[in-house]
Amino acid sequence: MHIETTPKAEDVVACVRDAHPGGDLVFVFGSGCCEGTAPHLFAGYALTPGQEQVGVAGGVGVFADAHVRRLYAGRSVVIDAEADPLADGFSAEIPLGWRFVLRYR
Amino acid sequence: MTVARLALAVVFLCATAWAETAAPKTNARPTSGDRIANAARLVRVSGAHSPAALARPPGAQKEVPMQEYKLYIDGQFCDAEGGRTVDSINPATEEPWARVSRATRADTQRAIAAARRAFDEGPWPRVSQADRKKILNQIADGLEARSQEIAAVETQDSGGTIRKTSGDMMLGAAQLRYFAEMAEQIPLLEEIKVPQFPAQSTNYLQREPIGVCGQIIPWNFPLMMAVWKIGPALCTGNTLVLKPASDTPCSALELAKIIDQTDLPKGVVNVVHGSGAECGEELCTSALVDKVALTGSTEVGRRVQQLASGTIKKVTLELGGKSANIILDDADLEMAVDGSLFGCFFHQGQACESGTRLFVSERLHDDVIARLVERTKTLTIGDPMDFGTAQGPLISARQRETVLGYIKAGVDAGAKVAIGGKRPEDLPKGYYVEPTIFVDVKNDMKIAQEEIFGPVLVVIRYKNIDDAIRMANDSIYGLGGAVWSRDKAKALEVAKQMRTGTVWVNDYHLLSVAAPFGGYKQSGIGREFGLEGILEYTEVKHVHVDQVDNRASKFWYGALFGA
Repeated sequence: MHIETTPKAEDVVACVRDAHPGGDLVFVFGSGCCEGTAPHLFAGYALTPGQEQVGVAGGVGVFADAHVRRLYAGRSVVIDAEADPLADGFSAEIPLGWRFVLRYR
Repeated sequence: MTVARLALAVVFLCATAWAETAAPKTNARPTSGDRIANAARLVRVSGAHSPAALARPPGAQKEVPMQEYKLYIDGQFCDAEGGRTVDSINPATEEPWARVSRATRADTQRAIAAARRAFDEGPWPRVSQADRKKILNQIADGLEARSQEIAAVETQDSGGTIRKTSGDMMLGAAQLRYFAEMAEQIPLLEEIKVPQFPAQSTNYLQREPIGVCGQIIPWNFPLMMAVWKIGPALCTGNTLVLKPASDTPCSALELAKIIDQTDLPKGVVNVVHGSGAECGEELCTSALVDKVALTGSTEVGRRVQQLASGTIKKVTLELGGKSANIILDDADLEMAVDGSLFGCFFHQGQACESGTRLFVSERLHDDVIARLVERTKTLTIGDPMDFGTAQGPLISARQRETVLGYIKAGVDAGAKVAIGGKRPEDLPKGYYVEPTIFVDVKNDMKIAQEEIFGPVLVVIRYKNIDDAIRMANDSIYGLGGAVWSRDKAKALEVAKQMRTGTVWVNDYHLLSVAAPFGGYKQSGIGREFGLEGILEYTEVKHVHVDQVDNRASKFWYGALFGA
């Protein structure tokens, strides 16, 4: 599983970092329900033993559990960002009016 | 089919939704300075909008003015901090139809404080069980009286067909009446028989409300999910802050209007519309909140549990599913085929317990596929306000793109589309996706392992029953499932081996308010409905009443004072 990041997503990560100074940020993926395997950016997240780092996005470590690593084994995925005032997750970019999305090569 | 029959047939569930893929809306690259602009975009001042293009209520042709909804905090309908609002989009028209106050973290804190006061200082936790029953019935009465009106609100807000939302209103009222009845019936004080050594004593189990409950609900069954959360909390004397989904706040706020007209004390029920990252996070971390209940995705459930761990809150989670539906060789195929389509395509597949993996034997495979395709062709897709419509739009553009992304992933992996697979060509507006059936699916494909939350059924062949059960259980989820057979004993044996919270034999989606509902594995923690669900909203206190009555007989004090 190879992680790429769009410039827009990197900029949104920078905005989140401004909003969470000193925050310990990580990207994790949805486990394939409701929102699919969408990327979530969390501050102060407790990684589980099954989550392994699969890349870096905007200077933030990207972690995936075995389920997601198996789904995207050998593939490139791209973390992008979209403006979305109605996004409803707990991901840290949402209060800023953005939402991270995952695109596939 | 009448609404009443539909109400009996309909059941419903969960999930919040955030898309993993979607068409870009803007090419602008945000900077730190853009944050101000982003915030400004969220704040849309009332009056600056164009007339809403609304779906029509049955029989009506005229356009209805933009509806407005406010937060409900401490018995008042109020603006959000700074007057922040956001437009709710009608999924059938892609047009805004309501303007809703958008709560901030500070608004959520106000709501939590109101609920805390109502619990600590108000009468609600201490009123009689009969009074709780009376007030829950008042809410049910109000919902019944306005059921068609609120069904229309919810159809415009969620895209759920008017057939479905009408049933939801009736079921919601019936569920409130069950909680009303249980408010009076649940045993709040029970004697416990304990060994009468070393002391003679009388011992009681006393059930009490937990306190302030934070409740986060999804967009697929907006009113019913509110009832599922508010009902058991009020039944047992709790106070609460409800956060409806960002996409679908309006029917929950209509329910708040009904509640406001009852005898329920102010501040017991509060409704805030805002994002998970602001309002939800506050509910999960506030030291003033005693319990959090979420219906949503598994990853959000994990986040909720982590955030709630800081203050050791009680947590119940109702999460995702990829439920298995197994047709045995002796099944009544006429019933099993329609039941399987109902199990997957009801509400466009946007139900967490949907039977999205259909297991069929090699022997029946081709016959079942032919029948599934023929019956799917009869499903009408279109305006959800039309009682003739079977399939409405999905909730949002992001959900539609997510579903289309899954369909592409299925094709890329080698599965074949037997029917559907795209947006309907005759519906250029609205977030529609055709009901889609995949064949030649392997259970380890992405489309067989992930909850698509759209009208996508995957059909998987099995060699024998053990093979079917093994694949059915090969999932990180365990929420629903079904077995179809004329031999009920055989079906029950299969049901017993399925690692899942609910199994239907020869049916699907029928949940009962009196029976527990919840998930095995990563589908959740705790149960909703039934006595089990109600007790999730209680603390248990053990009361020991000494019957020895004199110091001299209490030899066990010798452990401290000596013999």
